[in-house]
Amino acid sequence: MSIFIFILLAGILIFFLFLGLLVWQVKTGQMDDLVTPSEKILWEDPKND
Amino acid sequence: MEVAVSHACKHCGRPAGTSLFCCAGCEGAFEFIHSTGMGEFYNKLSKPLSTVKQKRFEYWNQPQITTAFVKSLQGGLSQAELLLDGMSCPACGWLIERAPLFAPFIRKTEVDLGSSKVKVIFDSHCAFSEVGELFNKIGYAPTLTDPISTASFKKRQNRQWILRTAVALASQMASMHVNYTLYAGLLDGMNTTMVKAVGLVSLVISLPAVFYSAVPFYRGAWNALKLKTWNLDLLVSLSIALGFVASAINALRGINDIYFDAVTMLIAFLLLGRLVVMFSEKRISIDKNVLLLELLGTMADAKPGDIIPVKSGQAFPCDGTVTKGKSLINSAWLTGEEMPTQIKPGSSVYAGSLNLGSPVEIQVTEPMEKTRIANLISGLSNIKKGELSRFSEKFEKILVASVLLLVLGLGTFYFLEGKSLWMRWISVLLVTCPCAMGLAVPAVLSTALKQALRRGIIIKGGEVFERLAQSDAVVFDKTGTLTTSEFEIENEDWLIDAEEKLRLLPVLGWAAHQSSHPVLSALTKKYFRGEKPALTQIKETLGQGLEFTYQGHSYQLGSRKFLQLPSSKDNQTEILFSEDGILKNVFVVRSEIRSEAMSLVAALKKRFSVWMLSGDKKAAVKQTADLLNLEHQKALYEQTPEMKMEFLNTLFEHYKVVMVGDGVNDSLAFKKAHVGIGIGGAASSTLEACDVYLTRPDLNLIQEIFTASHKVKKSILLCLAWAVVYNVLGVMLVLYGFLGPLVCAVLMPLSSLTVVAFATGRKYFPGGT
Repeated sequence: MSIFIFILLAGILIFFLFLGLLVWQVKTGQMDDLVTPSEKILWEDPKND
Repeated sequence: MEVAVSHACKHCGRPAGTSLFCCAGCEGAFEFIHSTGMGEFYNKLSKPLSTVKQKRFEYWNQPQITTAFVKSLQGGLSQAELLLDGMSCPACGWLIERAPLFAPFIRKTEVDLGSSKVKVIFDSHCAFSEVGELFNKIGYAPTLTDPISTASFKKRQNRQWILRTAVALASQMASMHVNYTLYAGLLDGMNTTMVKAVGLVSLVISLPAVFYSAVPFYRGAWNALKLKTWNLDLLVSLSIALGFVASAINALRGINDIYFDAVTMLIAFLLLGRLVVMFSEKRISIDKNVLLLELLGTMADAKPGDIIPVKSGQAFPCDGTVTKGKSLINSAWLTGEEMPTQIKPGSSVYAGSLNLGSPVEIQVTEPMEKTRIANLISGLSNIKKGELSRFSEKFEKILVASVLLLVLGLGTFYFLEGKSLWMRWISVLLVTCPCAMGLAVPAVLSTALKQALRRGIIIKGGEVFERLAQSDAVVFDKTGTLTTSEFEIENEDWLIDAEEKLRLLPVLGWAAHQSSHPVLSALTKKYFRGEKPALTQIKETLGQGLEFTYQGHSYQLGSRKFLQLPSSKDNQTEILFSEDGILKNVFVVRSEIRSEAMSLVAALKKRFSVWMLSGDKKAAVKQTADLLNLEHQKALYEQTPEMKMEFLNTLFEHYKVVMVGDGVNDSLAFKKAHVGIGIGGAASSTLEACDVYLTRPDLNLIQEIFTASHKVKKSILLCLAWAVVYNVLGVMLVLYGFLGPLVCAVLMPLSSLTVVAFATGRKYFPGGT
C-alpha cells in the first residue's frame, strides 16, 4: 500500500517537474517558431558552400 | 495574326509574353541572385515566388522609424525585424539565411517561416534603408509592421497562449493516466484509501488547468454576464466549475465518481482550437508612422503659411498651394493613376503626391496632422467594419441557450424529485460540451488559411471566409487591379521603311529613357536596348514631350499638341515621333487590361453585382468598362479615396460588398467593405487595410478565394450538424441512464477527433492539402 502512495507522490513530482520544464521552454522562446526549425535542419551549413 | 509565344517569368513564373521576365523587378532579382552565386535557389523552390515589387526605403532612415524599429545591440550591431510577405516556402528561408555570405554588412539573418518574418542583425554604421534595399534586390518587399514595443507585447501574449494550452494538455493527459487506475478499479473493486489517494492526486494535477489555463473562459463568461448575454465561454465555465467542484467533493470523500480528466480535456481541446487558428491567421497591422513616411519621405516641421521648396523627385510634405514654378505631379495615392497632372501657381497640392518635374515652392495650408493623407491614414484605424453576424456565432448562441435551459430544467427536476441523480446532471453537461464545435470550426479555418497561404494568398482572419461567403457585390478598382498600372504600346504606325526604322530605333529608345513620364516608359520598355546614342540639346516640356538633336538632325517626341498637329478625334493617348519636322511614327498607348480580368468579371457577373470605381478620367473608364462588358452606370470615374468609401456606404443598403483594389486610394474602401481584397503592390497601406492580400497580381486567385469560402462554409455547417446530432443523441442516452459520466468522457474526444479529421482532410484551395 505504501508503495502505491509513494508512486502517486512521485507521479505528482514528475508532473510538476516537466511542467516547470515546459514553462522554461516557452519563456525562453523555444516555442516561438514551430515551423522553421523543422526545415532548417535540411539546409546545409552556409560555410561549407 | 501574331503568333502567341508566352514564356513564364524566370523569377516568379507569371506569364511574361515574349520576354523572359514579367517585369524589370523580377529580372533584377533573378540576375542579382545569380550574381551572388545563389542560383541554386531556383531549384529548391516548392511554390511560385511573388512578383517583385520595387519599393523605396530612404524613409527607413528617418529618426521616427529607427527609434521605433531598430534595437541597438552590443559590439556596434543593430537588430530589426522585417515582414517579408512573399516568403513562406523553405527555399526562401534558405536564401535569406545566406544573406551574410553575399552582403557582408548583414551579420545574421534568422527566418521565421510561420509568421513570414526575418530578424536581421546588421552593422550599426550601415543605414537601415540598405537592409531594406538588399531584401528588395533579392526579390522580397520588406515591410515594417510593429514597433519593437508592440512586437514584444504580442510575443508575450503568444507565449502565454502557448503556455496555457500546453499546461492544459499536460494536466489532461496526466489526469487521464491517473484515472485509468480508477477505471480498472471499477471492474475489480478497490479499497477506499486507494480511491481517495487517486482522487486527490487527480485533483492536484487538474489544478493548473482549472486555475491557470481556463482563465480566458472565465473572463469571457464574466464579460458576457456583464453585458447580460450568454456565450460559449459561459457554458464552458459552467461545465468546468460544476465538473470540478463535484469531482473535488467526491475525491475528498473518497467516492469513485471523479471526472477531472473530462474537465481538463474540455479546457485543453478548446484552447488547442483557439491556438491553431491563432497560428494560421496573419493579423498584420502596420504602424501609422510607417504608412505616412512611406508616402512623404520625411515629416516636415511646417506651419500653415510657411513657404517651402519641393525639389524634383521629392514628395510634397504638406498640403498647400503652389506659389512659384510649374511642374508635373504624380498623385497616385489619391487617384490610383500613374498619369501625371500639371500644377502651376495657384494649384493646390496634397501631401504624398510626388513632384516629377521642376522644383516648385508651396505655401503650406494645413498643419501636418491635418493633411488629407494623415486624415486618411488615421481614418484607417477608426473605421468600423459593417456588422455581419457570423453564422457559427448564431449557432453557438442557440446551442448554448438550449443546453443551459436543459441543464437548469434537469437540475430543478432532480431537486424536486429529491433523487440523487446529480451525477447524471453532470453527464449532460459533459456530453453536450461543445468540443466538436470548439475544435472543428478552428480546424476547418486553419486548414483553409494554410492552403491559401500556399497559393500566395494572405488571409488575415478566419472570419473572412464567412464574410466572403455571404457577400453579393464586388467592387473593383480599375488601374492596377483590372488593368496594369504600366503603360503598353497598343498600336504603332510606322510611316517609314524598315531600314530607316532600324536607324531610328536606338535614338527613340534612349530618348524615351531620358523622360520620367510614365507614357514614354512604354517606349523605353519596348525599344531601349542599352544603346546610348549621343543625343544633345535635350529639352523636356513637362507633360508634353522631348526635343533633342542627334547627328545634325532635330527630333521631337511627344503629344500631338507638342508637335503642333491638330488633335485627334478619339480620346487616345498617343506619342508621335518626328525628324526635322517630318512625322515618322505614331504610337497609341494604353494601360493594359490584365488577361484574366475579362473572364473574372464575366464569371463574377453571374452571381454578383459587379462595379468599377476609378480615379481615372471618364473616357478611359468607359473604355475599360466596354472591354469588360460592364454597364456604364456601374463604372464610376474620378473617384477620390473618400468618395470610394462613401459610395460603398450607399451600396451597403442593398449589398454586402467585396472591394478589390491595389493602392493607397483604395485603403479606406478596404476598411469599409465587408471584405477588402488587396492586390500586392508597393504601398504598405494595402497590406494594412485589406482582409485578403494577394502576393501575386493574379486575378484568378480571386475566384479561388470565393470558391474556397463556400467550401469552408459548407464544411463548418457539416461539422456543426454533426455536433448537433451527436449532442442530441448523447443527451437522450444520458437522460435514459444509458451513459454514465465515464462513457461520456470517452465519447467526447472521439467525436472531436472525427470532425477534426474530416475538417483537415478537405481541399479548399487548388494545389494540394
